[in-house]
Amino acid sequence: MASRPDGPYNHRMRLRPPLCIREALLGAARRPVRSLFVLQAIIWGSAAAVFPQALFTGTREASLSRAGELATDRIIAGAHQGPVLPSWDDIAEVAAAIPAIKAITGIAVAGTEHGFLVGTDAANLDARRRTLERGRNFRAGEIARGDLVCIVEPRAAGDDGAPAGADTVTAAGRTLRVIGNIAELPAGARGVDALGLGDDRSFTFLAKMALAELGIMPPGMDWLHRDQAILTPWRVLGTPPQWLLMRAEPEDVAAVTDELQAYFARRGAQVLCYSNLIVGAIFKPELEGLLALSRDIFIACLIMGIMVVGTAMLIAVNERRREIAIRRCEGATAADIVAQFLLETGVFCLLGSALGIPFGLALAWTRAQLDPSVLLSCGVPWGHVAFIIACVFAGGVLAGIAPAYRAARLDPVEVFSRG
Amino acid sequence: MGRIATALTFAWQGLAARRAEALLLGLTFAVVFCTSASAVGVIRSGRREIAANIHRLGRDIVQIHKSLSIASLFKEPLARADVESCRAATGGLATGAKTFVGALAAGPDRNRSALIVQTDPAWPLVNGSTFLQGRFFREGEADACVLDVWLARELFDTVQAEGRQVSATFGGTARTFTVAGVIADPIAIRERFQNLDSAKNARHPSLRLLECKNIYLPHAAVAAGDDLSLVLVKLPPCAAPQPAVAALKRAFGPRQAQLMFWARGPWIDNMLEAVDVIRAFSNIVWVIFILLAAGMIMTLSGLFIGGRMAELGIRRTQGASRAAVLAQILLEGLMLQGSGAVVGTALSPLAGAWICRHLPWKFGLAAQDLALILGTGLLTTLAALLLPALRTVEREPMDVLRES
Repeated sequence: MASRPDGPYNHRMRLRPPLCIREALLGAARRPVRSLFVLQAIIWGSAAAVFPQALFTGTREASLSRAGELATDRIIAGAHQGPVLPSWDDIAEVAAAIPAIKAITGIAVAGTEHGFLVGTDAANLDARRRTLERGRNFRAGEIARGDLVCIVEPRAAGDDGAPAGADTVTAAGRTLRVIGNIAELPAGARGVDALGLGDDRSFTFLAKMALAELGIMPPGMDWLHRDQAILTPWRVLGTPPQWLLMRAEPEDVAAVTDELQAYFARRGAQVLCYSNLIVGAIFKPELEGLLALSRDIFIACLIMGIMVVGTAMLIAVNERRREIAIRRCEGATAADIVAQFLLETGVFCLLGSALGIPFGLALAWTRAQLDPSVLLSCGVPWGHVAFIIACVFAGGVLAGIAPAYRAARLDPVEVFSRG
Repeated sequence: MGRIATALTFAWQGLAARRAEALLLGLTFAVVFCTSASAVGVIRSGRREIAANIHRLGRDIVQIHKSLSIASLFKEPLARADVESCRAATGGLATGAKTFVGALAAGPDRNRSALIVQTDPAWPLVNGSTFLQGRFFREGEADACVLDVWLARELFDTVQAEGRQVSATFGGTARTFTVAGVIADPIAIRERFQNLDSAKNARHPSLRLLECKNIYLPHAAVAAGDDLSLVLVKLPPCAAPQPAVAALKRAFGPRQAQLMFWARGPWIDNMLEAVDVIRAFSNIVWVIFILLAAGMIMTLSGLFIGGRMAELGIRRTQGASRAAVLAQILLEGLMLQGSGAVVGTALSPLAGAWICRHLPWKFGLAAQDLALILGTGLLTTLAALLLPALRTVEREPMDVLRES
């Protein structure tokens, strides 16, 4: 068994990870273009693996944590013809039939000169997750009697076009006492339609055209997202509810819309249910299959990356024969050389994922910004990122086996005598 | 011949002297070819499968239903008598249906809403339906129903639904029907992703027909009346859709304003155009992949050749011409590329099948696709090898030997 010589060199020549890391990074920095070409399979693979996961994670998180703001928990039901229910009293029956509904309100809309007069009940604010900036909600007596009171949205205006005042507002010829003012929506949540498409988003128009081609043509619901409505007790308008607006847990939304259609079919009525287009799919297990596809692409890229980096490192051993021989003369053992090459290759490969992961996240962020749906978001899938890093490092170490074996077998005497 | 044989011998010896590098380079080529062939195969077979599926909807079918405009909201302009006038106007086959969403039950915990299509026994003939099991209901079979395959699975967990009982409710009417048959989904490739259609409940019942999640009942089974939601017309062979639609519009006279005439043929073409846009995008990605792979091969070749400067310099001093050394380098590359191509394309069906397990179609690699991949691969490799090879042979042998 070869004994290691004592002395100061011995300690310094043992495997020193920081030096190996520095060597790998400096080697890559010396020839950046070459390094990029060698590492590109790992860069693309990491990006391809993180891109869909970032969208999936971000969207799922947003749909749950920002449900109120992005209305991912909202369902709107309307009839093909006429009112959705014959009477306001029937709303309670719907809620009782479908326990997953957390809050439900009826909506009857009358257009005004500068906005909408919406007949509703006291559950409206809860169902829409809107909060009051000032004042109070309707009282049960006001709804039952049809008192001339109202709650105004931030951009509501009276018949004269003036913003709703602090005390009274005239809408559709009725003078209503203002009892509350609804708080502004956050910037990202304004102008979001019943399907979750943002007015100010790129490609919303194209998305609507594509949806129409597939038979989905929601009617105009400007009363919902323009923030120009004046809410008043439904008795003031005196018409049955045209729409039902409900709230459910985001993961239950798809099931609730199914149950609603079945409920109304049993009543002999036909309703169309509008909810966020993405939230219905994001919780379905079928989506996992599509995500697995990105994992396969990552595996293919990683295999290619291992081959390329392994080849490049193997060739590099020939260029570094003198360096290896000097290290051996200074006291490094064959095991130290093996460890050095394995670590260097692993770190070099990690550099690929360090470039690929942010690139994939940037792609996901850009994709989310371009999507017509306000819900599509980018998040960092930490668990997945850790998995990618671990796989890439393990792949790098694997790629370093052949070069490390060759480097460890170099005889320093032979290197110096032959040159 | 002698020169080629000499170049081949030197190329073989060059590779044999560096077995490990040659093996890894060959494997890299194999992975590049395998990835390339499987990606092209997956994209092309997907396009073929989508086209085949979507054509099964019937290019020769015209669907007439109530316009969704406000003007016709309170009218039901189609009646059973219109079926005969459609038949007369086109000379083809026609059938009518009333469509609405109803509540179905196939057991105490098997409740589901589905599109009820109340129609007549001519429906499968006009619609071109294919049966997975059983048959369509016949004239006079008032208690028989037919299910689409998706619905059969949802209600009974199996497509073997013939003879089972389904209860359908609409309004106050609830009736029980016996399943006479199960219809296959013409767009079979959507089977895996059908539950991702989260917007289905926002689709008008007249437009939900092609979701193929329907139950077919005899006329007036649960919703009474002679009014129809749609008329389906199968045009005679070789009839173009546009003149047929014009003839149908004439037959309806002023009522045509309240109707929507929807020829499936042009819609199918639109859908295929959309698929082609996606395919074009995939092709761009593939071209980028090829270019980057070329860059990678060029880098590796440069490294491989750069490490052998002394050997090539000695060959020059021994009398080998620049062309001979160039031929040796290119032949080495081609030998590696050839072996990589053989191994890679041989493995591509496995890799393709591995990818396709997440997709609803089977992997297939056509001969022309294979030729395209091999041809592109050959040209790319030659182009990628040429630059480092030329750089090497341009150097003077004495300089190379002095530096090494």
